[in-house]
Amino acid sequence: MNYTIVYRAPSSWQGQVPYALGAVELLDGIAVTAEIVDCRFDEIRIPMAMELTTRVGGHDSLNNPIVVYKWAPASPRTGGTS
Amino acid sequence: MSGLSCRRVIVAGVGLHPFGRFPEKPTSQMAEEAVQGALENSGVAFRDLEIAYYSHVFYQGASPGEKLLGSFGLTGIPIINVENACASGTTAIWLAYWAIATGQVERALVLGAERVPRGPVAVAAEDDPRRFIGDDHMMARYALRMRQYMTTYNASAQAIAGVAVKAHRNAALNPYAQHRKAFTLEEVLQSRMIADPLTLYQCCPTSEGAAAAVLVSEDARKEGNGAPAVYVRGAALTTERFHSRSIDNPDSVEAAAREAYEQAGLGPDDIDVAQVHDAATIGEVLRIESLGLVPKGEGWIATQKGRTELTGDLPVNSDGGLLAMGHPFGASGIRMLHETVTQLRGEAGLRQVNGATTGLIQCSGAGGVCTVIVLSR
Repeated sequence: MNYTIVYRAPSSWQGQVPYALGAVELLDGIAVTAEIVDCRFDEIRIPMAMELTTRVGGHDSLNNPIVVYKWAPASPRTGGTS
Repeated sequence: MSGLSCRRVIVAGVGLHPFGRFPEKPTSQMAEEAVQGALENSGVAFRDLEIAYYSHVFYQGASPGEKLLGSFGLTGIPIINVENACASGTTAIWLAYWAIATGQVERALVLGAERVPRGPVAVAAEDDPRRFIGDDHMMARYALRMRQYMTTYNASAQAIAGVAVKAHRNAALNPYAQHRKAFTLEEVLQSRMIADPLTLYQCCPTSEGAAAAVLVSEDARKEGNGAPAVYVRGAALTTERFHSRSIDNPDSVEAAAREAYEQAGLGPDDIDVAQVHDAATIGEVLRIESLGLVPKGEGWIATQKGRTELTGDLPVNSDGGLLAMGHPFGASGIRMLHETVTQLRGEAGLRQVNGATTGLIQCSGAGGVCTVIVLSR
């Protein structure tokens, strides 16, 4: 996996700033890029076992909540991918 | 787009409106100045144009090209509005080139004019859920690629930041550039962090500006301003193929380069000056590698050794590039054509690359778009 800390975000971003953005490689080599949640910046390591989770990422123009995927540190139960 | 029996195409003239911020000036006025410049430079009259392409990204009403060119006259020609993200300008050139090369028309105009809003650039449409995942942020994606590159090739952030120092040094010699101020490596590295390790001066600014060019068949060429004829030798446009995004995988740049070199009958060793898509410092490093101008993994070393400077053996982004010349999306590819033609004519003044006779343009766009155009005198 690979990550960056984003200090300036586009005006369309409704999450917190700064935020961590991780590109996590799946077992077949495909990388999935998403915000890393549930983890302090100084806790992020390479490699690090991660698992996909969901969050309300923001609201659309009709104020409906939009649920999207995010990365979170893997719980010992699931193992995760790095 | 190969195997055709093609006619030779000449860039007869180029025009440019400075890049920067012009709050008092409407886009239409910047466009008019660029078009007027290209017409005068080419010796072609507006009424003799047979097709026109207007490249832009940000919405300016329906059929904006028809509106922008209307002030020059209503001549009944096809006017086509082109949107292909940051590669919109080169896509317009690609369309004009093939329209002439295949014999559809003798004279074509390309125009890019744009005002890009301030702030980091996102590409997803309103209400697209991808806005909320975290990766709809061009500079954050470049930051990830820079980190991956640094890890893979043991490259230093300082060496990559050198691209920005070189870009601003070149732009300081260019009266059309947005940032005409040279920076030290220290200043580049200590500017505000945008997405670690990319600092502010390693990211292209958002810009306003316009660029235009007139392309003609060899038969239709007039003497113009007496400058040497600059030929388009190859023009390729590709999009991504499905593959895992490992740094060593061939990308759309390599595919476009291969096709353009083949059309031109030239190779990377023949290129005297290149304008490549340096939206971020790492972008230039990656693209000079994908274009075959330097071996894979050595773009940062070539930068560190000064090979890409105006005085080096492989000058890249001689006018300041996106990083310092500025980046009004739809105008950028045509700005690259302006610089290449200026260099190959020997008219680049203080930033002239000595003896340049062949040039290359590479522009990338969101969605995996890539254009490569090869020119020679």
